[in-house]
Amino acid sequence: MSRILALWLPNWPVQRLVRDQPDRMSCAIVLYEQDARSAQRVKACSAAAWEHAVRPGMPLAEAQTLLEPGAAPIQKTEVRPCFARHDVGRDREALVELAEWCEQFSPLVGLDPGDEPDTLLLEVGGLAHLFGGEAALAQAVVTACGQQGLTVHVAIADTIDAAWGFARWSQGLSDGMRSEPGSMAVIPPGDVAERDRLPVDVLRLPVRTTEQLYRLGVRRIGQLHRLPRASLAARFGGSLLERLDKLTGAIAEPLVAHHAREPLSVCRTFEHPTTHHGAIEHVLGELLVQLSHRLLEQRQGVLRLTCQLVCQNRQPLQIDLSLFRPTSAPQHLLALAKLQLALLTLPDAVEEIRIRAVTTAPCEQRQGELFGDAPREHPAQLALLIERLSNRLGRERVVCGELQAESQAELAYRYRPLAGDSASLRTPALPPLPGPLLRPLCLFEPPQSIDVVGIALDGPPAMFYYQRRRYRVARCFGPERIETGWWRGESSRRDYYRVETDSGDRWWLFRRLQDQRWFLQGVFE
Amino acid sequence: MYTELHCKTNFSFLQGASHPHELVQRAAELGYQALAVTDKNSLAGVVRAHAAAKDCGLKLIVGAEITPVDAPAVVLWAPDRAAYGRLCRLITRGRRQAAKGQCELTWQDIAEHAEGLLAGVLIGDGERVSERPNHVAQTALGRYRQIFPDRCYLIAEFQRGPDDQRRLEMLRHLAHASGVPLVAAGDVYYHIPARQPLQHVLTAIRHGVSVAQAGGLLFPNAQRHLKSPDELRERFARLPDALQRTREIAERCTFSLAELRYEYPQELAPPGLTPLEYLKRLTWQGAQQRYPDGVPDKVLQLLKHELQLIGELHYEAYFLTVWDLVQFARSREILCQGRGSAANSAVCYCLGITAVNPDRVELLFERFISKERDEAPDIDVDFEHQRREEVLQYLYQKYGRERAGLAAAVITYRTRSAIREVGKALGLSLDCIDRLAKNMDGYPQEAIELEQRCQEMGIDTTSEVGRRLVHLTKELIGFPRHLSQHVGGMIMTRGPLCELVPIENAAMADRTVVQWDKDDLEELGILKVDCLCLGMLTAIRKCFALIRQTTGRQLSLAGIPAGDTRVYDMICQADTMGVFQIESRAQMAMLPRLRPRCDYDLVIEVAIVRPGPIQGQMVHPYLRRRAGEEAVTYPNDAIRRVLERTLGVPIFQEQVMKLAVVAAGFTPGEADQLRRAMGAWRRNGHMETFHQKLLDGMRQRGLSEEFAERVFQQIRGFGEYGFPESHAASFALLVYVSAYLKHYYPAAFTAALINSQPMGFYAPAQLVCDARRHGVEVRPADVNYSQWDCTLEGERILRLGFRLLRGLAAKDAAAIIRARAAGPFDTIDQFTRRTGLLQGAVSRLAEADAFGSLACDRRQSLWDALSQPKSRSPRPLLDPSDPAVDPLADLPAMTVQEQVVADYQTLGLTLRPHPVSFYREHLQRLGATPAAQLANLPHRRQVRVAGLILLRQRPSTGNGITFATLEDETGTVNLVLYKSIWERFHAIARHSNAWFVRGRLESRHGVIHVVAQHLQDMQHELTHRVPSRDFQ
Repeated sequence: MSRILALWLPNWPVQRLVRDQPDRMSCAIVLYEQDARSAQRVKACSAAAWEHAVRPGMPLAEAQTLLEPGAAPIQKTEVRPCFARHDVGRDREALVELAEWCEQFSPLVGLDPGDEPDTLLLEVGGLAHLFGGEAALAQAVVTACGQQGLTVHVAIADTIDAAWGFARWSQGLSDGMRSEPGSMAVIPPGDVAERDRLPVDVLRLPVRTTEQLYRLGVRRIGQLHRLPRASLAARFGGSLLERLDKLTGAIAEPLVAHHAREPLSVCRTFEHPTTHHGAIEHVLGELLVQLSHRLLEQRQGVLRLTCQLVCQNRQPLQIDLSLFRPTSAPQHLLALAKLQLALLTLPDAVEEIRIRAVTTAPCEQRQGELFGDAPREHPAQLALLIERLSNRLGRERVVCGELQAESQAELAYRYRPLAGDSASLRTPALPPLPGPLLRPLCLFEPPQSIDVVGIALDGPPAMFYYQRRRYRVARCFGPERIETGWWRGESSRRDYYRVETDSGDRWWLFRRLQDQRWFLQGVFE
Repeated sequence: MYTELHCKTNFSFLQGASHPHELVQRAAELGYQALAVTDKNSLAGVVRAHAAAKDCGLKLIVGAEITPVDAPAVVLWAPDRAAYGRLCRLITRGRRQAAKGQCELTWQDIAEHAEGLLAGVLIGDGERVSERPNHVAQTALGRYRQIFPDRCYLIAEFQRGPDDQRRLEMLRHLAHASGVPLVAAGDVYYHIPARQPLQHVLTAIRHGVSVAQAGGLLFPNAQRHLKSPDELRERFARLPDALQRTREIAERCTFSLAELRYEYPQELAPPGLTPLEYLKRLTWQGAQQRYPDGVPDKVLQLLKHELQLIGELHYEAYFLTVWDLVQFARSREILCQGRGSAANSAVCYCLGITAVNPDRVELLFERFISKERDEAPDIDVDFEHQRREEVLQYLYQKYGRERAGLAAAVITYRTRSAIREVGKALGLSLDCIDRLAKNMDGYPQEAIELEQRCQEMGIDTTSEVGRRLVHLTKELIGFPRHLSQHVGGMIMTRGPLCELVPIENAAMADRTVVQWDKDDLEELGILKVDCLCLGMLTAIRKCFALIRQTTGRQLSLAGIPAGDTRVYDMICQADTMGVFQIESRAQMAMLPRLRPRCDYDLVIEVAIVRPGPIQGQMVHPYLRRRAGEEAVTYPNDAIRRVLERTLGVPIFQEQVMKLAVVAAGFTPGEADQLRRAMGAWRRNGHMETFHQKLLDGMRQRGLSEEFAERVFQQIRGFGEYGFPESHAASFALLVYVSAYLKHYYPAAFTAALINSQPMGFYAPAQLVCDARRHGVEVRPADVNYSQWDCTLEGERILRLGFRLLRGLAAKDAAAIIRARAAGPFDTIDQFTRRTGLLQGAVSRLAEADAFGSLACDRRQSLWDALSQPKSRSPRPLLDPSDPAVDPLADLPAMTVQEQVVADYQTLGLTLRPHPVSFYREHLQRLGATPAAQLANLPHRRQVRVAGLILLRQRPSTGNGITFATLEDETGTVNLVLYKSIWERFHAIARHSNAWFVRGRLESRHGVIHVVAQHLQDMQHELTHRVPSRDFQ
């Protein structure tokens, strides 16, 4: 016979945060989310925040004023507020971790099926005697969770819904904030009286239906049970009866066990630790093949990959691979890994190799061509080159220049690593280039201070000295005035001239308007 | 002598970074010959520029930058009135074709309106420049030359860009090849270079990015300012002709906005009669009707005098316009009432524009229309709020879109919006901005305040970022952001309005708005008629109808018997819930002290409980003098004449102005400026100049410094809230009428108020409670008896209407009423069959207990309702979920308390015992006093009260004091919460709707408050989601 243990973690998002960051234990924690109108609203809060009148649903700004130092209520002690964005994904992840940990109590552990689950369900039928009875089992769970720093409510009952309900309502409290931590309820098999006392909310019906039941004065399962089934179906549809039957066990509802998604990582332990490069490369190759199978299943290619060599009694060595285009080809990955491996000196024998795909992206499918690998292969060849260079020299060293929309010349470009970045797969929208020959390709960084002889004090240059050479200006275009960057601090104010010297060189100079000093910033080639 | 021909003000929203007056003043300082204001597809800023130019003697050229979709942009200047008219027409066309705030024009549109206008073509602005002009530019210029044969120029602008020399060559080539002369301009966005950062911020706001992200969207230098003549000479050294030509254009443009003559619509007089003759005829006819027993002598004199004055000032057409409006409203049975400077004249009374009988009220027409000021008369007409749109559409239809439009309202940046936008543009974090903005409101009184508030919010205003934030925010405050519509100011003209000012679409469908706001219109002497809406008029009309229905008595605004002592008795007892204006807490608190006994007392009552008089410290002196506790003295006779009727305390705006004239020697014109400055002093501080003038004037007339200072403080107190006597007089009439109706016809009055919701201070629940206290029998909403609106089933029997049922659609209610025509409903099944309603609506009715007459209890009827079909599709023959026999369900019976909760949930009110009454015993044990018994307790006694919170109010003038109204089964208690208490019990005060309060009783002059000292939450005990109305 099936027996279900429900383990409810009240206010799970807050509990989870404290679990991840124990130093926040004493804080007034407020978790917020962005609602559809992009307003920030409180999603959950800790008891300390609740004390200060913070409530789920209120705008974040209001919660902030409530928790500000010096804000009301005056007579209460000051607390350290802590605001964080509600992270549904991490909540779920942590619950999954917890589910795995709970496998010590039961081989079959599931999550409650809501969008934001906060309850674990354990199938404990037939294994309570291992713990000395159901009460002892429940106690064991509560105790173990308590040691983990978790507040839980545990109930054991015949069906999933009943256990779920008793975990919440066994003490007649639906408000996790104020009920005693570590409460537990064991409902003997076949007990109807207790079940009938559960509120109808336990059925998790649409809000409107629950409201209507309340309006009809039907608050408890028992009352619902006494109403004619046919009439109920006519009024609330068949789903209410189905939910009711699942609760009572008239319809069996099996527990869907949770399975963790396998991470994209592979590892192998050497039977005999080795320093032999050939052996290591061989194993590396095999692991990469293994990984690439996994990647292929998901139609993913790897963009960044780490490869750890665990040595005896040492810090593991790490190889990072960064790619320009997502790939799942093991030979190519191996070739890149070998490039780095060759540079490594092994401090000791390697006993384990772990490989993990850090960043992946959908793999580009390219149709092969019937005739030859003519010029179209070039982009792919370039990618290979970029990848080789990046992995040999370091990701940060193989870059491409990009124009920025910015009037200040030295800030009008930036360098971006080419490999290991899914953003580089898209061609960014470039700002329009200024006209031809208006900006030099070569800039001095920083601009070189020079001496200039001008005809008028604020006029164009006539002659200048650079690196002890004298240049006579033959033609001069300008001034082009740039005054910008006030938001970065002191604004840069310059008058630029493009000059052509009598020797035929073309330079880009500017006068700094604040102090009339001249600088050479670039050369046209 | 230079003329700037291409200059945007901040009315090119989020582009221009200077106010029109700043540009004008700077141009005058630099010794310009003239300045052209050319906003983008708009003339919204020209009037302000015109006013500033008039003050500093600069010539203003009116123009606009037009950006057609299929041709290069062009700047158009208006050389004469006719060309100006065409420019307005052109912009109107573009604006009317596009969505609100947008303008869509084509080259063809420009061609059709080109006659007479001068054009400056903008080519190559911001594009990549090559020395040889490209073919496209040349063709475009050629096309413009076609439509502006000898009036076309090519604008040359140099901003120290990357390649000015080459641009210059290009433009020269282009001009030469097309035979279009070059003219110099500056493409000005701000008056001084220091505005560059603000212009960058505006650009960033416009594109919704931060300045740091805006990159290429920003102008790279600060050259878009008004430049000095020397700088210009140097800049255009190689194009001296282009510089010279600005003078040519300035000379060709002789048009000034001062030439605009406003003309009233003339068609209102029938053929053969002049408007004045017609007005006279209508007035005398009206007088006969108003005074069937003969016009009193006093009124006769008044009429003669007023008509003479109207004739002299040529205001007859204006009065006819308003008369026509009122006539239309009357024909549709829309109740209306005029107010404002000219509205309370004998002529308006006879024309039916107002119901304030000149025989009863002492108001002098001359005070409102004066010969010397030559100021336009001002009549506002209030219409029923639910039907004002009919009146507006009538006007559009009568005069056509071309001749009628609503005045604009310029929405400007206030502290909150300014700091939010600047913060975003500077890249501050969103929650920091939110927090800052939340703590800012209105205009800070002093510039320092902004810094202080920023510091309070943890922003270091001495840091780079903090300084920038404060500085830019200060600059941005007061900048126009967009045009909205005035609450109801309609402009109607004889000729096409769209040749006077551009007209554009409003956000609301079927509304068109001119580009000028009320100050602009006033500056140019253009008249508007304010068609406003007033909820109380709706309620009064509905009340009249109900009274006619039940008693056959015909009532009208003018026909209510005046001076009824019982009505005044009721007012003196502050029994005024639902009465117009005097139903607010503050007003109610004043009534027992002021004890109004006649019309004029009500006029004062309406005007005195306003932020203006309260801040000006006028209320208490007036009360003391009225009670005879303080002697009334006047410094001289002239002042006595002004202030006598308000016992020496200036209460009305008119008195303040008059006082400035008689006591400080202001001319009437200056007094008028003072009035305007009063409205805007917080923003621009013009008041300071008046301050000195006022003090000097009074000193010269031998008045004491102290008196002068007090008068000034009083004037200042009026601030934005000055209330004119002429408006108060009209309002007072409505106060009296509604009080009269409340006293004699409480059932009809309550029904009318509920049927006119949303309006007034109180929700239906309170109105119903109040009616029942006054002996009205209120019957519940019921499918067999109710209409959509509340109805009367006897003079003192009120039947609630379906409109109170939450979530019931009007069309479902109509279906019920239709089906009921064939006889009453017996069962719910039968009800559903006959009405065709679906389960959703039926169960809503059941939840609201609307099947009471079917002898069903609420739960049983909901149970039955739930079995009704959910959709209109026919049921399948064999539906398993449809049992042949529906066995009786055994549902638990409802307690009264549950019924009350359900009533509140579905109706928002209950006719059963008040929710608090169930806990009276419990509350008694806790020592709580029922509201009704507070009056018997001595002043300053410690008391405890408990109940539901109806509303919380925090008036801006109250130093952070919050007022709350608490209700129990015996009545209401007024609570006063000082800031410290509010903060200490913030959680309860803000969120809970049921309080247990310990506090001190304040009971004086029949006014009862409880000053709260301790709050306790009773939400769980007392309420179940009873709604309250907060902070309104």
